Amino acid sequence: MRSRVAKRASSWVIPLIVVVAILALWQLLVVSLGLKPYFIPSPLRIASTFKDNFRSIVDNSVPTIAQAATGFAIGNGLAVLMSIWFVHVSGARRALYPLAIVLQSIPLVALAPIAIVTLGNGFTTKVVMTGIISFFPTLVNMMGGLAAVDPNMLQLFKSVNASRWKVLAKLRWPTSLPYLFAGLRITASASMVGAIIVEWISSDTGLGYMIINSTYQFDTPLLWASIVASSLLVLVAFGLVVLVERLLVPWSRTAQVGP
Amino acid sequence: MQKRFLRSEKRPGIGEALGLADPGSPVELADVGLTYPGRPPLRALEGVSISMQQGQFISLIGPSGCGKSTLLRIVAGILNPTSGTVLVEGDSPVAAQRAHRFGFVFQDPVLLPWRTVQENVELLTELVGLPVNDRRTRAKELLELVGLRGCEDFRPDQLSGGMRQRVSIARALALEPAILLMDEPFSALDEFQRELLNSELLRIWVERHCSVLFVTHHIEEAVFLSDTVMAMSPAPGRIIEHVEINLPRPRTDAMRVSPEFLQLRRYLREVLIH
Repeated sequence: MRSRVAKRASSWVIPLIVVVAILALWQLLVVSLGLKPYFIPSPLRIASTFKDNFRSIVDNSVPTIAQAATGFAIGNGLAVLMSIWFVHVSGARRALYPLAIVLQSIPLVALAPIAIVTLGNGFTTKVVMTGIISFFPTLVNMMGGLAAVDPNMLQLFKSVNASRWKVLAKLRWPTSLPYLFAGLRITASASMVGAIIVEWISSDTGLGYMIINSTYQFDTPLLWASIVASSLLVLVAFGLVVLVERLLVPWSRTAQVGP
Repeated sequence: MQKRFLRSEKRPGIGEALGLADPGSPVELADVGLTYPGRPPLRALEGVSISMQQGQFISLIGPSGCGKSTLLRIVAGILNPTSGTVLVEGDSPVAAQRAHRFGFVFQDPVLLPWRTVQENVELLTELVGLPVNDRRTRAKELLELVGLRGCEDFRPDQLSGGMRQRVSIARALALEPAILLMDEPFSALDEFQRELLNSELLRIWVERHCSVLFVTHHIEEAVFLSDTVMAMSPAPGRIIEHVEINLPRPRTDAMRVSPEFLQLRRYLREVLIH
């Protein structure tokens, strides 16, 4: 029992020590070498900039979060529905799934200008982009998850003439949940990153805009502060997904270990 | 032997319910063969005939790939033979499956990890729409039968391999099947668990009055459990020897080292290995 507590603690404490050590070394180097803040700011300088600009950082986080969250919800929702359709209608799967795989390989950065040209410069474009980013990883994961049922278990369901709906509700869907959350974990951070990238290309608000704007103005401490804010948001998004997964899919971690 | 007759008399089969004099053998295979088309065609099974008595325990034994699991799937109506006939209680395997005459136990327990032990046992009764109270009571009884009273609310990953397989047996019995089809159910267990579950299975079999078709590659297990052991050849699978196990019932662990037991074991070993 004691060693387990110790293990738990060490899994937190050791990385924390490493981070603190890196920050301390960074601070020390910047100060001792007399590096200019516009070249590379010290961690303490970044922290104070973060504090001074907190209001502006929060204001700019709101549109980024809104775009990422809306795209995340729509993209993942469509991915789940489409995977269910594909699993049940093999014609649809054969016709469209290869296309989906090909589309997935197009990099977002290449797609963003096209979206802006065709859809304009507003919220819709950004939601479409974050939606596309959220769509493919979850689609691919769900295709695997819905099909990952044990053939013998499927046989048991068939032996009592269970309808496809029952097979979906009582077997395929719960089986796919760990896969779904694997997809959500990827897309939670990807949609946030996607929103920021789209804001780089065209926007006058948002964290992406802050990053670009502070770069143009050589306000390197603010650039770093907005990067810190972005990564905090990504971490929170990721953490929320993990939290919901632990609540909804408590068997997920043990299920893959057992036979 | 006397006891066996009493046992089968107690069981009201559907044949009797229909007023038939001969309710029909639980499983009747006549000259069953299975060839997969291709070049060259793959012959999986050839000329298999089995006639199972009511309440009988039959084991199919043979080397890996001899088609014993395939044979089980044919009996269950999952696969169609390319020649010969299969009758289950005088009906087609598919009809028998539809009437829930089979209980399945696989090599892996295949339990649903998000369901408790109780909910896993209730799976099939739930799917056929049995009222909640009925299936709850039935699952409780079955868990008691397989020696898992008090484990109702555990999740599968909290159980040992042997306990999980007990849950799987309870689930197989939930629709009160006449025939248990078991595909190497104990092969993933260690020797101690296997022997324990062998005895438990016999106890359950006597209590539930069902017939068992049991696939294994473990000679001792086959001898210990069965009334009849069918030894199969490597592919294409044929039944090369039909060994009656005339050891008295109930079987006890002490019998595993009796001269008769060892002789049967040695004999089967020779049949299968040479």
